[in-house]
Amino acid sequence: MEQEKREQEKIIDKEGETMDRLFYPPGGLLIWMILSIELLTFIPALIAFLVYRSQEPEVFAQSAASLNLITGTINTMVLITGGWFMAEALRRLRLGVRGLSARMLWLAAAAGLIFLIIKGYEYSNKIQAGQGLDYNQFFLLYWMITGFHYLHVLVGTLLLLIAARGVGQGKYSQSHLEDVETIGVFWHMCDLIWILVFPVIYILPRGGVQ
Amino acid sequence: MKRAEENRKQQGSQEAGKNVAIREPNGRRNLIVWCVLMLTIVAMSLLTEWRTASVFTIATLSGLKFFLVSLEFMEVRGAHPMYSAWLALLFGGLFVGVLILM
Repeated sequence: MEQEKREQEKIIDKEGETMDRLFYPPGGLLIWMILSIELLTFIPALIAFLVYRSQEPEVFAQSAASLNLITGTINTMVLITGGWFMAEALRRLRLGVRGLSARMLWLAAAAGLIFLIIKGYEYSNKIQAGQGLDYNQFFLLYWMITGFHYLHVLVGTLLLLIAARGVGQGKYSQSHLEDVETIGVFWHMCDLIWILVFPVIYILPRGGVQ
Repeated sequence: MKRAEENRKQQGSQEAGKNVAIREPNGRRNLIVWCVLMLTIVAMSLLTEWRTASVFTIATLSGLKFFLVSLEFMEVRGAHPMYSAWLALLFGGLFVGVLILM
């Protein structure tokens, strides 16, 4: 009888846990709605980019070849490293190591800032070369897609700075870290979008990829 | 009777500990994931530079990065499977689009 009761309690606990996991994803349901909207914006934009590329493959190959693959690669590494710092910051905050967590958040924000500086340098080169929005179809989409992502990284970096300050001052702690988790998901969303944007814009249209 | 109760409590806390170990990201694991991501990024650029990359290879490497970041860093691995399925669906849409259009 007692065992039966325990089994029933286990089932109820399991159901409760499943419902919790369904309605409380990492960072909360709201940030997941935002993440979904963002991915549902970027993915069709990248597909539109590929459709235009299929109409003018040579123009797209020449334009993509004018982009600097090395700075693009460094930027990808910087952004992913920022994501790692963010994941580590959250892990340490959960363990109650607030000081190290704040330091990791400052490092993640620094990674965001480095990304923005490198991308800014790339943008200034493009402007100097006259490859603006109206140069051709490739650059129209390049500016729109990467520019929109740039704004996301800018907002993400600002949020990381706020989180780093908050953790340092004790506003966020082991028992109160929901905001930091949400900022973390936003930051990883920037990573995910760049992981999709980089190969589609920088790599695939180049000659040599069969 | 009391000892049995204590044993049960201990077992319960061990089970809870196991759950935490599954859900909570681990520092070494995060470091390994970061190393794999860095290698993937470099490999992708080198393959492009050497002109030996195929569309499928680039798309697959991007998929690997996408899922490593979401499952490990974003902690989707510990979330309800619906969230990883949703991300897989979104990525799959682009993956198919790339294979058709390239």
